[in-house]
Amino acid sequence: MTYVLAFDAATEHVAIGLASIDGGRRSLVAGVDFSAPRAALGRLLPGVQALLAGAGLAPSDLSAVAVGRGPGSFTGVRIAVATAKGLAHGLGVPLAGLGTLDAVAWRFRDTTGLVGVLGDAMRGEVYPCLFRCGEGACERLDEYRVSKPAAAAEAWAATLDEPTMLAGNGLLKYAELFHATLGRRATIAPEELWTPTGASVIDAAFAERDLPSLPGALADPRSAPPGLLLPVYTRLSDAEEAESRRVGDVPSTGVAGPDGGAR
Amino acid sequence: MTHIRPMLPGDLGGVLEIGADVARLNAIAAAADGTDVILAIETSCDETAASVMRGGREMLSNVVATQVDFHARFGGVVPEIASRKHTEAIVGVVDEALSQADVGFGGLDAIAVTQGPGLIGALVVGVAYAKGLSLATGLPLVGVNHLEGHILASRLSDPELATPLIALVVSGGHTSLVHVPGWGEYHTLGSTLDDAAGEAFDKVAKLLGLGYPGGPAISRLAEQGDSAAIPFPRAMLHSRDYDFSLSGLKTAVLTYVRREQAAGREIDVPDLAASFQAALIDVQVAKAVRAAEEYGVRDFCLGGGVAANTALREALRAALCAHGVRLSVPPLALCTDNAAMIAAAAHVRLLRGEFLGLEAEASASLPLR
Ligand SMILES: [Zn+2]
Repeated sequence: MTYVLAFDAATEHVAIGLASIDGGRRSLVAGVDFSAPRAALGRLLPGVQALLAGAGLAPSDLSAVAVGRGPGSFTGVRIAVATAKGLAHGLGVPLAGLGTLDAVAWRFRDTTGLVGVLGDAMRGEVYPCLFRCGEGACERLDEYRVSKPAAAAEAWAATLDEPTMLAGNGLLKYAELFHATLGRRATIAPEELWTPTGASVIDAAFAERDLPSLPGALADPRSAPPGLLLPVYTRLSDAEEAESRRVGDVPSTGVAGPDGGAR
Repeated sequence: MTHIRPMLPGDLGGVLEIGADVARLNAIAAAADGTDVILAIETSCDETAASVMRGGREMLSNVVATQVDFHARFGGVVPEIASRKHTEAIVGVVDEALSQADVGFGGLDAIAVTQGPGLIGALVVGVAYAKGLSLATGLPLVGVNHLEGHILASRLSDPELATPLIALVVSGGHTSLVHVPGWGEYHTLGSTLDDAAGEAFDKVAKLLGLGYPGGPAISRLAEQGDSAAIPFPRAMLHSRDYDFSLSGLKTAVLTYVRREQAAGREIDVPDLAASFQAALIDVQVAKAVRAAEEYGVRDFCLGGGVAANTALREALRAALCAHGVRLSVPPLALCTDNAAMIAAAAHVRLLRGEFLGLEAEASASLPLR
């Protein structure tokens, strides 16, 4: 039996899932999610430890770790990614990535149709991303990006011609705006479906959308060393953005950029 | 923070898991024997650092990945860039430290990490990573105060250094005067109320267009200048406490530059640099000497990046020597941020049975005690 751990803490909500793989069969062993505003660093690993202990497993039983690379809060993403690096490095197992917005979308795997996830990007912006869900799966249709809420709503209003389920913590601030712009095409999902769960982080990790992927890491552990995985930021640091506004194109610092250096 | 004195496993009352108990007790026993091998991680500012140390003194490796080039063009450390860079570099830096020391995780007794003070986003990366390592390996985790690390750096290069002592930590982030009655006991006597000493150097250097970091540039110019040329204020020189204030000095430099420019006079930059530096040093030295007298210590140590400043070192050495107090200053590589000093401090914490749990947080303003 092979066990994998996946978690996400890119928003103020922590989700942790533990799955087993037996031949071709994957099943969720245990999952937990909880709200942890400004407390992810203190609560993430005790949550992991409790989940493992509850399943009668030790950390050394894990064959791989997958972590939410964002986009989300920069600090939240780094807490999850640095924790996962420590775990995977210490265990000598590969580290795979998963998409935070994907982990929200996968809550709707049994709903047929379009799902629009709006992550809160702070500073008056959102991370808008469309998925097509149905028959137990979700496919991401967009690349991750950051956008003004009104621009994102208008872009969707101009292109969407079918009912769309909206979810994500960006709705806490912008549900009204998206509802007003999209009209009857949009259904706001119940708030308890806006955040990832243990099951949905596992699903998103196996979706093979984020590199390095979990299936790839299990097949070839050397393809996903813990040192290589980076967060997805979608933005430069404030200092670099201010500099590029001031003087136009500027040389990159070479520090992990908006897409974390992945595709 | 959990405090556990060395004692038998049965005495711990089942608060912790047996495995974690045994690992902690083994680590304490190894520290008592002086055979403990610690991996320390430091990410409080703009250096990603890791070190492997045996017995709190024998440095098996000391790896520092500096980010200074990434921050230079912004004229100071950009916290978001520092945090990103730590996340990118940490695994490679730790691997390098382990490989230079020729040990694996299995050869370690404990993991140590800087818990604060420092840039919160930067500290979080090290603490999260170290906690992950601790859960994965079953190794106990020790939290270290960054300032404690700067103090213990002196002991690495100067085994004769003995407590009680007074320590002055001066860097880009800190200006603190600490009384150390015994190893592992710290009483902060005073610290800066506004800018740190290194920060004052950087700001004045920026004002004079000397680039970043500013310390080396100013001290180089100061060598050719007259330190009595401009009478800058010595803030809090005569206050009875041990606190420092440097923003007034920075403002005085700014006011002076503006006034000279408005009057169309050319500024003598070496004189300005020497006068600024002298004002800063005078206050540090006066408070240092008074603390050494008040607490009756024979040893004094200087730490932090600003300890690289030769004029400060020499002024401090001369003033302390006149009072029969010996000054200990580590080599530059141990004055600037590094993880060897964190490992040295962790050894002392291990001896005292002090550990962190998986619920530990980082703290930007962690008090030293
Ligand atoms: Zn420092």
